[in-house]
Amino acid sequence: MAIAEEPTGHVMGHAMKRKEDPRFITGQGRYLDDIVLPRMLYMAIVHSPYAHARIKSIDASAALQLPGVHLVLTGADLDQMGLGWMPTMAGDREMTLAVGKVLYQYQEVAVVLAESRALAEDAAQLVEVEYEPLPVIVDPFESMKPDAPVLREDREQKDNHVFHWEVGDRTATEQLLRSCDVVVRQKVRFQRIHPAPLEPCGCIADFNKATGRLTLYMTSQAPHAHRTVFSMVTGIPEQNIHIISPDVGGGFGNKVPIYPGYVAAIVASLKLGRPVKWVETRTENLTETAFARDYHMEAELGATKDGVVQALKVKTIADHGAFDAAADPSKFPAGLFSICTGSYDFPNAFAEVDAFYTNKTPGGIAYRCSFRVTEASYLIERTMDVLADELGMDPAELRLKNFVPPEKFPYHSALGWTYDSGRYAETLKKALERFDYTKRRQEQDERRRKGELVGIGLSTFTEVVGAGPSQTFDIMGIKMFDSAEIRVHPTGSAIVRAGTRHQGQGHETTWAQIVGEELGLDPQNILVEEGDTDTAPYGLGTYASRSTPTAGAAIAMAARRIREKAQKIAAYLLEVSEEDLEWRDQKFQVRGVPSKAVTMQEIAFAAYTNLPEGMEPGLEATYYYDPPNLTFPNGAYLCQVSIDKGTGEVKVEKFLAVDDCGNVINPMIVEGQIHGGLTEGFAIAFMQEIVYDEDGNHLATNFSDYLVPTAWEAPDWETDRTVTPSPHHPIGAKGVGESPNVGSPAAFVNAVIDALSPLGIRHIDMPLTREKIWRALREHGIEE
Amino acid sequence: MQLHYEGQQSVDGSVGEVFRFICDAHNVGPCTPDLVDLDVLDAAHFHATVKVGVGPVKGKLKLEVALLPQEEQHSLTLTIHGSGMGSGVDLTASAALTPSDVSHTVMDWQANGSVSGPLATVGGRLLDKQAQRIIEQVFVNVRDAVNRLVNTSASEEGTDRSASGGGS
Repeated sequence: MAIAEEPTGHVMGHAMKRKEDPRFITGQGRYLDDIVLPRMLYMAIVHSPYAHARIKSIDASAALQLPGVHLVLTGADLDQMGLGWMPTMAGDREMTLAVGKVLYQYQEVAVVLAESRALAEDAAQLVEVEYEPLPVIVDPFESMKPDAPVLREDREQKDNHVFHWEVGDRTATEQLLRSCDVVVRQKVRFQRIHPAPLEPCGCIADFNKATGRLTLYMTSQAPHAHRTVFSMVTGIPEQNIHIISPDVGGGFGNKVPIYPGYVAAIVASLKLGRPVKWVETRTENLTETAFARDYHMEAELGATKDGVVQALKVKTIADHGAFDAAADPSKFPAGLFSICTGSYDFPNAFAEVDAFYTNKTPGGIAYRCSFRVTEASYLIERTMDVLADELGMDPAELRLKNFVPPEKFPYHSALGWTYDSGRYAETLKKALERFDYTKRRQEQDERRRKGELVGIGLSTFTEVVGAGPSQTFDIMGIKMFDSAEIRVHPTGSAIVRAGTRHQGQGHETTWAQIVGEELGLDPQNILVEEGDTDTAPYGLGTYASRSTPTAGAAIAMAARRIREKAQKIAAYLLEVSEEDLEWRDQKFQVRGVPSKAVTMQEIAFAAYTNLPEGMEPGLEATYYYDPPNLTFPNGAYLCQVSIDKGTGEVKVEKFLAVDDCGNVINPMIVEGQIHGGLTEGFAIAFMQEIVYDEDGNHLATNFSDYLVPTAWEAPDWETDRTVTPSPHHPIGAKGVGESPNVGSPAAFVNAVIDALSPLGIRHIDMPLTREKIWRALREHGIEE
Repeated sequence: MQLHYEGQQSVDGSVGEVFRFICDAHNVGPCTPDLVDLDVLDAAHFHATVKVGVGPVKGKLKLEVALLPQEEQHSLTLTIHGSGMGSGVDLTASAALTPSDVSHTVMDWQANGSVSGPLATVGGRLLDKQAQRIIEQVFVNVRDAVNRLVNTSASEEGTDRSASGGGS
C-alpha cells in the first residue's frame, strides 16, 4: 500500500500516518487489563452448564471458606437489591445473574470476589449449583410451535414470540409478484456469528464510599450511553458515575451492550468498597456476550422476462436467543433490515421479521454493520444472482439494468428510505474494467472446459449508516446525535473531544485531519480525546459506521463555529470589516490582497491576548450534530474463486473492492478499514459459525472451533473507489468501516455458487467450509 | 451432548454370583475409574469424586450413583448424576446378565446420557471417545473384580474357573 507524503496545507484526503499507532505498535497502549488499582479485587463468574434448567439450590460455602475470598453474589442477592433483572436496549429485560432458572449455557449464575484472579476462578469452581434440567429449544422453527415449552416464564405473553415487524405494501407487492414474468424464491440463512474482538470485555468498578462516586473503567463503545443506563439501573446519580473507556482492542458491536458482568462488578464494589476487576476469558466472550446475525430469510423476487426487477417480498425468522438484547435503535426492532431492496429500483417491496426466543446466548448486535444491514445486503445480492441464473443473464448486466439511476437521487425506496446519493453504474463499471471482467469470464469458460471449477461473484451493495436523525433514531429514548468540543490553545494547538469512542478506527488521526482542514491547523498539534464521560460532550458512541457521519460532522461544525469567531478576530487584527475577509489557503485574507492575511495560529494567540473590546476571550466551540438523514455508502465487489474437487477447498484467486464512501478523510485509514472488513467477511463466508448441539451446548467456545483468519489464510485485497459526496454531510463523507463486512459475504458466496452452478447447485448456506463444499460435490457426482 | 455406548463382558462366575456382586455399592463403587474419593452411603448408593481430563478441560467431577437391581431379570440399572468443572453429566447405565455356561456369565451393558458445560463444549471433539473409554472401563473393572473374587474363592476350593476374560 503506497502512503502519500505528509500533508502540507489541506489535510483532508491525505494518507497521514496514524497518530495513535506509535503507542500501539510499541506496546504502550493502555487497555483495561493494564490497569491495576490499589486494593483491587478480582471477579470470576460461575456459569450454567445447562442451556435450560431450574436452579434448585446454590451452595457457596466451600468457596467462601477459601482464604482471600470476600464475597459470592447470586441472582437472588441481586434480586433482593432490585437488580435481579436489567433492561435491554431492545426494550426487553434480562437476568443480571440467573434468577430461578437458566436460559442458555454459560449464563451467569453467580460471581466470586477474591484477592487474585486465580483464587476467584478456583473459588468459582467450588460454588455448587443444583439444577433440574428442562427441555431445550435451539431452533426458532421449533420455538414458534404452539406446543413448544415457554422459555420466558417471566413474561405475560405465554409463547416464545418476541416481535413481529413489517414494512412496505404487502398487498401491492403480492399482486405485482403474481403478474411478473419470472419469480425466483430463495431461502438464505445468515448464520449466527460473533464479533470476537481480540480484547474481550471487562471493567474495573471502583466505588468510593466517601465521595459516593463510581469510577468505571470499561471496554465501552458508547461510554455516555452506558453511564446513563448504569445510573438508571443502579440508582446512582449520573453525575456520580465516571466512565473511562481506555484503549479498546476491537469492538465490532460486541462492546455496545451492557453485560451482567459489568453490573455484578459494580454491585460488588458498592458492597465491598474496593475496586473490582472483571475481564472475560476468550470462552466467556464467545459464549456470554452478544452474537450477530442468525437470520433465516426467504426472498421472492419478481421481474420481467428481460430482467427488470418489479417486486421483492421477504420473510425472515430471527433467532434472538434467551432475551431480546439486540442493540438496535428503539423504533427498529429488526434494525435497518428494510435496506433489503439494495441498490435496485424496486417499484414495490414488502419485508417482515418475526423473532423468537431460544435457549441460546442473547444478542443480535450490529457486528461491523449498521443494524441488520449485512443480512439485508447478503439476501438481496444472493437473490439477484439467483434471478440472473434463472434468466440466463450475466449478473453484472442484470445489476446494471436495475440500479437506481443517478437522476433519481435523492431516491425514495419502496421500503421507506431516502437514499442520499450514489452512482452505482459508474462504480460497477469501474470495478468491471479494473477486474478485467469480460476477459476473466472468457478464461472461466476455457477453464471450465478443462474441467476446473471456477467462479466469479459480484456484490453491488448499498449500506445505510450514520444513525441517526433524532426524529426516528434513539436508543432507550436517547436521541442518536453526536457531539464534539474543540478548544484551540493560545499557541495554535488544540484539543478535540468527541462523544464517540474509537476501537481501532483511527479517530485520533481523522478527527485531527478534519479540524486541520477546517481551521488550517497542523493535525500533528491536535490532540483527540474520547472515552471519558467527565470531559467529553455527550454522544452515543462508535458503532454502525456512525462516527464520521455524526461525530465527524459535529467536529466540522464545531470548527466552523470557531472559524466564525476567528473571522471577527481576524478582522480586528487586520483592521478591516469581516465582510472584507475570505477563508482561503487555510487563512483569512483580505479579498484581493493575499499578502494581507492572518493564520489561525495568529488568531488563536490573539484570542487570549489581543481581543476586540467586549469579545469573550478564548477560542472554542461545542456542537451537537443531529443528522438530517442517514448516509448511504455503496460499493461494487468482485471475486474470483476456484474450487479443489478433491478437498472442497476454495481458493480466492482475486478480490477487488471498489467503494464509494463519499469524500475520504484519510485514504490510508479507509484502505485499512476495507482490508480488515474484507478479512472478516472472508471469515464469515468460509469459516465462522456459532453452533449449538441439540442440548444447547455451545460448540464454538474458543479459537480452535471459532476460526479467525490470519494473514496466512486471508487473500490479497485490491481496492479502489469512486467518490460521490453525501449532499447533506458537512464534509461530504459517508462512513466506510462496515462496508466491506456488509458487501463481501455475498461476493464470496456468489463466486462459489457460480463455480458450482454447472453442477446444478444454486445455493449453499454459509459458512462454505471445505467439508460442506466437498459434500455438495459428492452429492452432485464429483468423485475426484 | 448426547452419549450412547454399549458393550459386553464375559465374566467368570454364575449369574447369581455376578448379580450379587454388582448389586452392592460397596463392590461397584471401587470399580469407578480414576477414583479420587469414594463414599458408599448404603448398598444402593455411593458418591464418588473422579479425575477427568478431556482435551484442555481437566478437573474433578462429583458423581452421585444409585443402583437399581431387578432381581427377576438379573439386571441392574445405574443412574449417575455428576457435576463439577462447570459441567453436568447425567447417565443411565444398565447391565443385563445371562449365563454362558454354569460358571460363566455374559454381561451386556449399555449407557445413555448427556454431558453439558465445558466438558461438552471445549472438550467436545474428544469427549465421545474419552467417555466411551471411561464407561467401558467401569464394566471392565467390574468384570475383573468379579473374576478376582470368584477365582480367589475357587482356588481356595481347589478349582479353576478362569476360562473367560475378554470383552467387547
